[in-house]
Amino acid sequence: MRAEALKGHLDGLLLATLEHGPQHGYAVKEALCDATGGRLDLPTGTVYPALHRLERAGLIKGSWSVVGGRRRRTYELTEQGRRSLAGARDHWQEFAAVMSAALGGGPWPATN
Amino acid sequence: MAGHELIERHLRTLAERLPDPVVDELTDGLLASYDDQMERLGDPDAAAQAALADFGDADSVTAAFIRASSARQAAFTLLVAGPIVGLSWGATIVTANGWTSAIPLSSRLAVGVLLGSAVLLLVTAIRDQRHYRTVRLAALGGAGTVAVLDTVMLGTVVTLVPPPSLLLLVALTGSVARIMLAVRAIPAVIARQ
Repeated sequence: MRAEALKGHLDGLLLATLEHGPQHGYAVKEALCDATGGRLDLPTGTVYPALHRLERAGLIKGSWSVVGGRRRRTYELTEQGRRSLAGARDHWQEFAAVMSAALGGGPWPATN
Repeated sequence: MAGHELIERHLRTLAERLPDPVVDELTDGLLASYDDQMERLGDPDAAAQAALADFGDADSVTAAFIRASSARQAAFTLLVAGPIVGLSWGATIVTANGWTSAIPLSSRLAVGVLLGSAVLLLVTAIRDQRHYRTVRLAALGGAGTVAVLDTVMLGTVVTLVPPPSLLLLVALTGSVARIMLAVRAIPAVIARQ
């Protein structure tokens, strides 16, 4: 699946990968790929700008550490991020229900 | 840095375009990806090519960082606000026959130069997709120039005390709002290196 198809949903997906604990950028990308059975394999380099945007919005918080001699930035959800994730889930369920109803193949209601 | 020549070349390109902390983070991600590919493929050249293909080219990564940057967002907001505030001032000057005022030509030219510089800097910040530092500096310069320009307009009104009108009130409010936007944007742009 291409990144463009995720427009409007990428933030929720990234927040969901951080729900169970802190992760660095590459681990976030791998978690998304694993969780979707490889169908959602975003370019690693484009995950980082999205994480920076979420951090600036106060939804995640980053911190530096040194692992194997390399500087690593790890991200975790903030309280605001948890609330945003819950909102994204509610919004998705509502959206999916509407789309499923519309595309489900049933007859369209008469308009006149 | 343990890695591969291809990986190091890619990181050097990114280092020319992006701030050091961002490059440190990308280095960690790219090398982690390379390590993973080495485990899967066992061949350094194949692993480096797979890691780079998975990572994305330098142009796409740089453009994604620039699109998400506070500098570009601030420049966009200020540029969009420009025509609204500019039209308010234009209408105010036309209806008040402002061109007959005692403002010297050199001052009018200086305002024109400030306006042109602000537009040029903000457009540069929005259009450049490859040079993060250029975008940041252009956004900073543009925001500063807009703040100075609006301050000059407010100062002119205070000095000349033109007859009050609804258009003048709209123009003054627009300038004050834009100064606040510019002043609020500057620390955020500086802080994000």
